[in-house]
Amino acid sequence: MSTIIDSGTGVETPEGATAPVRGRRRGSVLRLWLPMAWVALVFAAALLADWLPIPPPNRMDFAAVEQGPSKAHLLGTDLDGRDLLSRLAHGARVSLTVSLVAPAIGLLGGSLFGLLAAYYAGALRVAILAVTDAMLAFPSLVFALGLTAVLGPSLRNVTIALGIMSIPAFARIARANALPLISREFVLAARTAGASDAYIMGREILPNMVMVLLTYALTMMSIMIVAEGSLSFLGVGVRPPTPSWGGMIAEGREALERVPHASLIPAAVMFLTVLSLNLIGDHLRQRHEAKAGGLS
Amino acid sequence: MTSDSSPTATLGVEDLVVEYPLAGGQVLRAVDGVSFDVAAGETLALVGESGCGKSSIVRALMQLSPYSRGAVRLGGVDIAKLSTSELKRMRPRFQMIFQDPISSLNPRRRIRDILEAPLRINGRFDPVGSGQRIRKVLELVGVDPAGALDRYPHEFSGGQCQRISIARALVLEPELLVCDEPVSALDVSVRAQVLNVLNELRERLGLSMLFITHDLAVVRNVADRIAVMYLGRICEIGEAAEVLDRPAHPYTACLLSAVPVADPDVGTERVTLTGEIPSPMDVGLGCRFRSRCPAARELCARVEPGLIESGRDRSVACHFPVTADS
Amino acid sequence: MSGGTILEVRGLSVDFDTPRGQLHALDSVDLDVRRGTTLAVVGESGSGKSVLSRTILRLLPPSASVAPGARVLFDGENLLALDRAAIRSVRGRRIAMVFQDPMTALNPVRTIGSQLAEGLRLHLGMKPAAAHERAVELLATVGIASPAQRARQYPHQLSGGMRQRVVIAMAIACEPELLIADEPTTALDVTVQADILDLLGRLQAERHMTMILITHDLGIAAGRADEIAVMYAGRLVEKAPTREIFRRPRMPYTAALLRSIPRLDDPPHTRLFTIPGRPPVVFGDTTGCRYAPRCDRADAICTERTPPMASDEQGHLHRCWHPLEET
Repeated sequence: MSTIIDSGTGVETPEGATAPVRGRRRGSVLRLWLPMAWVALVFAAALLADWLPIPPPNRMDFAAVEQGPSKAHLLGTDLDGRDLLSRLAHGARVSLTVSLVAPAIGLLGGSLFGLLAAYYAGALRVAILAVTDAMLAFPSLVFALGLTAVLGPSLRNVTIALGIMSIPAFARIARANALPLISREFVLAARTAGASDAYIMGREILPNMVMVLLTYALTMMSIMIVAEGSLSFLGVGVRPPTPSWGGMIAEGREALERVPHASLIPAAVMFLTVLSLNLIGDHLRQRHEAKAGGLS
Repeated sequence: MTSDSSPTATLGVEDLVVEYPLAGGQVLRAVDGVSFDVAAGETLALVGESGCGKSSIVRALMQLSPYSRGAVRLGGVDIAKLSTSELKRMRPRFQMIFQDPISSLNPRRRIRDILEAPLRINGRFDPVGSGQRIRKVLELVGVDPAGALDRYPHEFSGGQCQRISIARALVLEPELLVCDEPVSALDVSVRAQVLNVLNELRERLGLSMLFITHDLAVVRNVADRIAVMYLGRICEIGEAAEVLDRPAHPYTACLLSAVPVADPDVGTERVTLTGEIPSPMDVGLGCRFRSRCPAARELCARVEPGLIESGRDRSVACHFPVTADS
Repeated sequence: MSGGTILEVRGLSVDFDTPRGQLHALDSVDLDVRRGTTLAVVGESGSGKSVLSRTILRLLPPSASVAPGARVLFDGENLLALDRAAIRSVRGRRIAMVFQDPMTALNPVRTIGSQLAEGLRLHLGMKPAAAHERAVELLATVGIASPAQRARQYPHQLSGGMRQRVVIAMAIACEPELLIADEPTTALDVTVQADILDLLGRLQAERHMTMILITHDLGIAAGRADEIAVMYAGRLVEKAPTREIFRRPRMPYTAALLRSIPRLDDPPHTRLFTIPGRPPVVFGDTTGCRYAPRCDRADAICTERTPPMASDEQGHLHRCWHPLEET
């Protein structure tokens, strides 16, 4: 179909218009700035945990067992008298490490396989799709449990297991985004100029997929935090005494009626972090879609 | 159907057959034995409606899609028979521009990168010389280099994008430029700019062009010769002015009569076609145009006409071509 | 049907709310369409011609706002003031529309016949059996062979030209008084295009319909329209009977456009006349003629003050401080 397209700007027909923009300014404080502030806080706590004026995470203060928030212990103590704030700050390291490294593994691996499956037909595509479909069909937590059981529970293994688990989803997204790009005229132009397949995939197609993949990676970050939390909660994640948010929730479980804050505070911190990452991801997605609409 | 590919022809296509496999073991023959030449410095227009095979020819010619049979000769060398590395060495000699100007440029790259890319891909990039080359090709197409090089495609209009695409095609100094409906997607007032650029390039650089279009007025403006296609075969080929003034094939006559003319005193009576376009898989014996031809006779259903020379530089695939006195 | 004005547009201005600001898509358009005639609305991208047609049937997106004083009088009734139920009963019944891409008008998962019959049942209250019979008749009227068989087929089984015929059948099913065709043939081959335009012309004559034909192709306008309205950057800049527009254009833009199109009777390799620059997309308020930056006759007054619509004795409307003289 030939639609006429020469009016000189990105917005050439009213189709480029969206719903009225007025509400967005006010909502963005809640939707963007608070979440970013929270995530920044968590990062800072993780980085500076050793230098903060708080007790070490593993020191058990039997005189102050199961206490609520106080001046000595800003968020209270757990069942063994360990400072909750300190454990949360150190535990943030675990959560953030997993949430950064695992999606990165998925992003790199998934983009590669997705691109290959889109660009090449035949046996390679069939093989890649078969493996990714199989992995997607497998219950993810069971898969992660199995991997960590085989490899042994540790931060490194949990990260690797979760990273591998996320490859199929990234691969699907990468493939879905690469397919329409492959038949675009600028790719044909590169082919007629003699470009190799690697050049086309890396220099022409990949840059057009980056935003979508990064946006998905941000969503993945929050999923990973919950996943690591689940594994630690089940006892196959990070080994004690290293604090982790999921582990803290598990530890406080047996005394939930008596000392609710021991489990609920770590749960709240995890909730806020995941929520913040999701909101930031949403915002990125909206902005990216608005731009993409003008180009296509 | 052989063609006398003269050795001086820039492009020689001989007996090209392009087939697509369909479900159920059937085969769709989109191009059924097409031959034509483009001489040095000449523009050949390839004209036809949807389903005639012109897009398949372009893809086959540019070695973007495989084809079953036929030779594609560039300066005498059959490029289908080349190895991958030999083909890559040949590629700079034949370049292409496309229908959708916005989609022809990578939205994530600056114009400078886009124009340098062909040079880099072919190992011809040199920091000083390439900068000059890029500026020169932009000037050739009427785009100011200083204002353009550091910008992104979305900052330009459709007409400018198309001219930048032409510049990109020229960077490697090709002998042949294949143009696939380059002005169909542009505003009326912008078409003229791009057509002028193409005409100028033809003069200044002696560029040969294969110009695919459905717009006969554009053919008039841009082409030296014209080949009219129908259902995978050429039905008429010859000098553009001649064919447009005195069409010999009934289909050409019909196409011409259907083109809307920007003059209210020219009526809209036309040579109408009867019947439906036959399925390309169901062409059957005889002339493939017979089912819709107003002048079809008994012979037409039995024997398929080949391209018969009729006059100086004119060939028509018709048993009963329209002549001056019919 | 006797003459008289079937459609009167007055003061129509339409803005779109976009991330980049208020897009002025239409600016104070005044237009009359006489009953039984064909008006071609000609323009390039950004001219507002499609917005105009969609406004008549109130098919604009939520981001659009129509100026409060604007009126679109159809047979005396202001379409912009009707409530939603009332405008729905006008759409498809008294005013019908045909779009550029038939696939956007046809539901891919329903048969042709059922889609045709639906309009008949909804607007005319026909019973299913009668509606289906009438649908087959309509398919024959628009020139589709074996209409009964085709009625049982799905849109993807038809060619582009046939789909457009089906869409036209849907449009005329309820005998509308006004048919708006927005680039109905741009996506079609040239022979199919001519067939479809012939069909529209025939239907119009048989049913005494008024037709508004929106196109960028001056050749189509020349051959099929009684009157031509030229739009530029959201404004109506010239309107006159077809011959007048071609023989004696008053707007420099129209004349420039006519000079820039390649013609079949030009000598080969003619250097075409080009209009420098490109059509503007207008954000924010502007005064002055919007074509002035590209016009070789423009002077200070053209950029400072918006030219009003003027008319000469033959009713040839134009919006220019320095219109071309009669040749």
